[in-house]
This record gives sequence, C-alpha cells and structure tokens, in this order.
Amino acid sequence: MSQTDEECVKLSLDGHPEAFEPLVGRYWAPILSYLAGRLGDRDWAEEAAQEAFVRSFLGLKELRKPASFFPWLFGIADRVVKEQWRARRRNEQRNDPPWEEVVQRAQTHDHDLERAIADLPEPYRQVILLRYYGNMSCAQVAEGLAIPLGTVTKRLSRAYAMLRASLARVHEPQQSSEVQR
Amino acid sequence: MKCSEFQELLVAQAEGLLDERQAADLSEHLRSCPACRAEAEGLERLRTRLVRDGRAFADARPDSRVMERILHESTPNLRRTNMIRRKVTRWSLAAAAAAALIALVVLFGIGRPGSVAYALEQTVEAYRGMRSIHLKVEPAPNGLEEAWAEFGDDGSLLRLRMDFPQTEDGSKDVVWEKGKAQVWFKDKKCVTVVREPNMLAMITKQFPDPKLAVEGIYEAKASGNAFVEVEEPAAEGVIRLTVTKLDSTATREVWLVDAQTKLLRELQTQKLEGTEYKTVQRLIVLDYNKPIEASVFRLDVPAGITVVDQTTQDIGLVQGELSDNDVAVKVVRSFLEAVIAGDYATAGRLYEGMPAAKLQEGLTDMKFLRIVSIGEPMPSPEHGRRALQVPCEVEIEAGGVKSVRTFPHVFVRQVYNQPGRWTIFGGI
Repeated sequence: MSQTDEECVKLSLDGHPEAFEPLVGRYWAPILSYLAGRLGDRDWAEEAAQEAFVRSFLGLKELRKPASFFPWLFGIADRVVKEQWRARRRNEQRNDPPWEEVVQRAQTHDHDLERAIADLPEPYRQVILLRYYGNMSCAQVAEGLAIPLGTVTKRLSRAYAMLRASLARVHEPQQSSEVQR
Repeated sequence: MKCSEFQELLVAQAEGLLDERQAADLSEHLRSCPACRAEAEGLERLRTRLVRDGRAFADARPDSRVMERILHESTPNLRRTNMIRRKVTRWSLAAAAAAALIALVVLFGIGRPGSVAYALEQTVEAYRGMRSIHLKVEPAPNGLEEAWAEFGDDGSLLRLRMDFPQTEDGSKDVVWEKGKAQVWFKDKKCVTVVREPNMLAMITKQFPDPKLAVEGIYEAKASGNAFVEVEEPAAEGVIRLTVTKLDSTATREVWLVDAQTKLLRELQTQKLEGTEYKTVQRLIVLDYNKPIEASVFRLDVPAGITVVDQTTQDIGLVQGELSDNDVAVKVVRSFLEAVIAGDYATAGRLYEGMPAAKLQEGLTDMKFLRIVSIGEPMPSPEHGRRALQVPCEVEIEAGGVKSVRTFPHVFVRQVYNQPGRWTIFGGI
C-alpha cells in the first residue's frame, strides 16, 4: 500500500529522510515537465527539479498542511526557475552563450505545449500536469489536491480552452521580452 | 441544454465519467451541431498531444542524486533525533521484561538449546502441522473480510475461499483450487474463471499469511530491519511478540500467540501516529485444523448468472511485435468486425470470453453496420498500469433508423495471467 503525501511528509519530519523518496517518485515527472516548459531545456530542467526537491525536503518544517505537499512544491519550483533565469542572465553578461540560443536548442518533446502549460494559472496547471504527466486519473487528481471530482473536470475544461487559445497564438511573432522572462 | 453545457460534458466524456444517458444525449447533440463537433475534435487533438507529450516524460526516472543529496543534507539534528528515538525504543523495550531479554538471546541465535523461553521456531514448527485455517480481517483491506484455506501434507495450498463484501467491483467471493480461481462478482451478476497457478503468492499481497509472516520476521531480523520483543506471558495463555520495523514505514506487528499450541491467535498491524503506535488492522484466527465443509469452497451461484471461463479458451489477441496502442486498436477493430459479421463467438473471445449468446442478447436492440472511426488509445490508469481507453464510432441501425453512435468507454488491457494477450473488458 503506498503512503499518502501526508504520511511521507510526517515520517520525513520524524527523522526518516528515506520516507521522502515516494514523493520524489510521484512528482518527478510532473515537476520535470513543468520546468522543461519554463526553462526550455531538458537537462537544465532536471538540474532545477533536483534543486526543487532537495529544497522542499530541507524546508519541510515550513509546510503547514502536509497534505498540500504538491502545490507547495510547485511554489518552490517557481522560485528555483526565477533564480535559474537570473543566474543565467548574469552568466550571459560574462561569456556564456546568449540564452535565446539555449531556448532554440530546446530538447523537450513538445516545447510549445509545455510552455503553454507552464503559463497556465496555477490551479489549471496543476490538474493538467498531474493528469497527463503524473499519469493520474481524475479521481486520483481530486484526491491528491483534496478537491471534488467535479472541480477537477471543470478545471480541466477551462485549462483545455486556455491551452488551445495559447497554442493558436504560438506561431504569431514573439516579443523578444517574452523570451526574456 | 445549451451548447456550452454540452461542451462541459465533452471533458467528462473523454474521462469516461458520463453515465449512459448523458453520453447518449451528447452523442445525439454532436450529430446535429457542427460547432460542438468542431469543439470535440479540437479537444481530442489537444488531448492526443498532451498524452503524447506526457508519454515523453513517462520514462523520466528521478535523478538518484536527489535522494543522495537529501540523505546527505539531512540536518545533523534530524539524524540525532532519529537515533535517540530508536535508542530509547530499544532500551525501554529491553527493560520492560526480563523474559523479553531471554527470548531475544534465543532469537538472536546465541541461546542454549532447550531454553524454556518462547521462540519463533516453535510457532514455525506448529504451523508445519497446520491443515486448515479460518480467519477474518478487521477492517478489511481491499474489502477482504473472511478467508478459509486448506493445506496439504507438504504445506501447499489445496483450497481457498475469500469473501470481499466491498471492493471497487462491488461485492465478490473468490474460490480457488487446482490452479483456477472463480470470481463471483455479485453486483455484476457474473462469474469469471481465470488461471491463477500461484495463489499463495497472490494472497499474501492481500493479507498476511501467518505462516509466511513468521518467515518474514526472520528475514527482517537477519537484515537488521526489525526489532523483536517477546512478552511471555502477556496475558492468560498468551505470548505477545512485537516486531518493530526499523524502516520508513513506521509500522509494527503485534503477534498474540497461544501459549499452549504456539499458533497465532491474532496479528495486529500498528502504525506510528505522533509518538504512539495505534492498531490499524487486526487479523483474527477463528479456527485451526477444524474440518471445513466442502460447500465453503464452492460458489453457490444462482441460475441466470453469466459464467465467463477464461481457462478453456484463448481470450483476446496476441500482442506479438505490436505496441500496446496498436494491439488495443486491433482488438477493438477485430471485435467490431466480428459483431458486424454476426460472429458473436469470436466477438465474445475478444471481450474477456463473454458467452456468444450473452453478447448477442446485449446487442439485440441495435445492429452494428460499419466502423466509422477508432480513436487514439489513451492511458486509463484506474483500470491497471497498461490499460487503454479506445474511443470509437460505429454506424448502427436501431428501430429501423441508421445513425452513428460514439462508444467512448471501450477499454482494453492484458488478459489476466495471460501476458501477451489483450482483451476488451468492462462495459462498452
């Protein structure tokens, strides 16, 4: 029987760091795909994912509701992304390749889609990532996020509409400022 | 209903969450509304793209450096707390009773032969002579509530019955003998007969077999993963054995062993909540070695129940070199072609071995004319790791009227215990 997020968090806090492993296994793919959408490069996304998980472990005592581990982890991943971009800009001023180039050599599978998902407001992004990248059923997503099943399908419906609108715009010329987030 | 409301239903339909009535209403509306049809197609294209990209990440395994760093960077305080807690546990347990200490010496293999203290070996020995057992589990894990088993002279499992009053599939009873399991899905009014050569291994995943559990303690102790304490007697005629696991599960087992027979009376599973262990499950042995009536191992199935026997026919199609998606589409196509041709025997074999007459009976109110489309398979994790949902559209004739009907809930998976063969399952 697999342990719930809450049990894993409590055990980790209770001096069993190995109890954190199921959480890494459960959320690695959704977080990685999200970071790939944000950063545009799979290797870079893996580094950032590693950083996000380690930081979440070290900051576990700050987590008020152990059952809300996943949304909280997302917040940490967001902060890691921002720091990574800032660091990248600083490096660029020294002699690193311009990061437009980094984005162009994006190694992810469907970067337009991943980027569109990464741009969704958080509640919509979460359901898409868990459903398609965490390979969870709607019922499992509802349980994981502690929301009713009907809310999951409503959020999915809205998320689909936003993704389709966003993907329809994807071939329009991009503003350079949009790349430099 | 307005178009916007139907469009809301499209998502639930794609997830297999609509009831038959809603699905029929939606299908009817889609036939007459080009705008909603376009919406449905757009949604399907997006879902296909999401499924594809999701698969590209499906193989992403967590970087092993994550846990290495976590274990390395765990704060010294955390490690110290952990060690102290374990140490205290060991000390207090050891001091609790002198008998425990004596038993531990015996258990750890440095005791003198002939010691009077209880040792696990005695229980193992007592189980060697076991011929039958009747037990119940509270609360029932996965719905299993009561079980009866008979064993042969060599300890092998001869016959078994398990009752599951509540499962995802509703109430079900299982009997097993000679490599075949019969499963009676009471709510679905159906009995399925499947091959199950290694029932003993399977049931130990469902509930702890006392016999194997004794051996499990040895393994855990030998590998340093468990701490064993014995209280003798803990109560009138009862020896209490506590096995605390020193791993991340924070669980322990409390064995209440009959002091005279050395057989297990009750096995409690306890879980650490805060600083206390609380009982989360009890396995209670009602009888040992009492003759069990033969009728217990027979399903008393009333007339009119469909029997699907998967042991006497080849179910589904062989996957061969095909991908999961390709074989799923092939199974659905072959099934639909067989129904269109009126070959219900073939169609039944592709549908978990459903009897031809039963299948035909279910399809009396409509005639399948032509396959219109078979969609891209999508993972359906709630039905098993590799289960797939394959939506399709078929032109049908019902009441003299031809129409195109969408079947969004067609599911395909591997045949139970026949790897490499794939079948349609569930309702359509």
